Parts: sequence; structure tokens; C-alpha cells
Amino acid sequence: MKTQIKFIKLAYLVILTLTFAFGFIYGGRESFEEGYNEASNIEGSKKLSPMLIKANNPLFLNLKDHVSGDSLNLNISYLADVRVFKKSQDTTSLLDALSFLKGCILLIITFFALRVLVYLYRFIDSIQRGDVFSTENIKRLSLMGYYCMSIPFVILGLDLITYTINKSFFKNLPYKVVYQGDFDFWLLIFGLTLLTIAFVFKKGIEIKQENDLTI
Amino acid sequence: MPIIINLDVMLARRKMSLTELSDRVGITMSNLSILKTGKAKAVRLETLEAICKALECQPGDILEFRAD
Repeated sequence: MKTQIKFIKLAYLVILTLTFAFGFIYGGRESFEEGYNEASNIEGSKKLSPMLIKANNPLFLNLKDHVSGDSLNLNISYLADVRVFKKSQDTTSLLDALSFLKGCILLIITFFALRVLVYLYRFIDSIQRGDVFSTENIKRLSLMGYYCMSIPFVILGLDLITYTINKSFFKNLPYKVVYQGDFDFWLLIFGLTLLTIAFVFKKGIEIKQENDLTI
Repeated sequence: MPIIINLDVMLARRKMSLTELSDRVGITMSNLSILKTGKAKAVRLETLEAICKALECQPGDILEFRAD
């Protein structure tokens, strides 16, 4: 039992460290690529940065022909040399605002994911201390549930913003970006399960108090 | 709660301290204190039996029903 809890705690710590490390390395790499692509702008045209063409799938971009209605999947490697028409002045401010919003949403998702991991660690720590049915644990479980339930909606918003950004890039081409947002139902169900467990814990506290006060 | 526990009254009648009762019955002081202050949610029959034996009284002497 003790070894099992120690193993779970260690796993949480490893995941937490990896999330931090991956977040910094990945975010740093993306920012570097974006900055690099911005610097290599050629007059009248703009090289598409990998971050911006990431619609809903990191590897493929779904395009649709306006006239024939044929859909086309483009691999990210083919798009590396694609040049699109330069953004007009009035759309630039909107795109900047959308990009800023996208960054904020990414931060929110990271914050939620980290909070869930931290709460899970604290939860398992309190169980190891023998403090299973406590109000803190109920609070942790409920918050984890709410965070998990809100993440799919936030991701949906992120998909919509990415779609809007990509659509504005391809408006001068005979193709149209197809929206392909997916809703993470499993995370929603997981959040609901956590809320149910929190409710069971609440009932458990009531039973424990009743048992403690039976002389 | 409409059930009143008159443990302190019986203790005074028998001129017995809570510590002495605790020693005789084998219940911790904190549990007896919960019982005395009326915070207890339930009383086991064996506890009641032990208290009655120690105080030489009937359960009705300790428990009393008073409607709200």
C-alpha cells in the first residue's frame, strides 16, 4: 500500500516536471520559429509560420475548393514554402488581437492542467497521511472536476480562434479552410466523474462524523 | 435535539467526578465530554449499560425526552 502510494506520487511529480519542461521548450521553440519567419518576410508576401497553419490538426490543414467543393488535405511539410498574400492593414490588428487571445487561452489551459496535477498530488499526499475524508479533499476533487469540465470548452474556443486566423490567411486563394474542431467528451465525462466522487466524499464525511460522535 | 443527557446531574447525585466515571466505564474523557455536552449523535447500548452500572441508575435517569 505504502509503496503503491509512493509510486503514484513519484509518477505525478514526473508528469508535473515533464509538463513544465515541455511547456517551456515547446513554447520557446514555437516563439523562435514565429520570430524567425517574421524576420524572413519577403515584400508583398509572407511566409506561413508553422504555428499559424496549425488549424485543428497539427500535421494537416484541411482546405476546400470554393467552386468544385473538393476537399484537400495539405501536409505541413508541403506548406513550408507556401506564400500567401500579405495581410491588409485592417485585418492585421484583428489577427494580432486574435493571436493574443489564443496565447491567453493556451495559458489558461496550461494553468488548468497544472492545477489538476497539483491537486492530484496533494490529494494522494493527504491520503498517505491518513487524512482521507476531509473538506480539503472535497474541495480539491470538486475543483479538479470543474477544471476538467471547462478544458474542452476552452479548447473549442481555441480551435475557433485558430480557424478564424487561418481562414483570414487563405481568403485570397481559391481554397477555403474547413473548420474541424473536436469536442473532448472524455474530459467532460472525467470531470463529471470527479464531481461525483467529490459528492461521495461529502457523504463519507457525514458518515464519519456520525460514527465519530457515536459513544 | 430533543433528547437531553443528564449525565452531569447523575454525577452530582452520586458525587462522582468525570475522571472516576471514565476509569470505571472505560470510556475516554473526550468521549464522555461529548456525551455530557449533548454533542453525541448516538449512544451504544453497551455504553449505556456500563454507565448505568457505574452510576447505579436506570437509563431513564440519564436520558430525557423534551419536545422542542
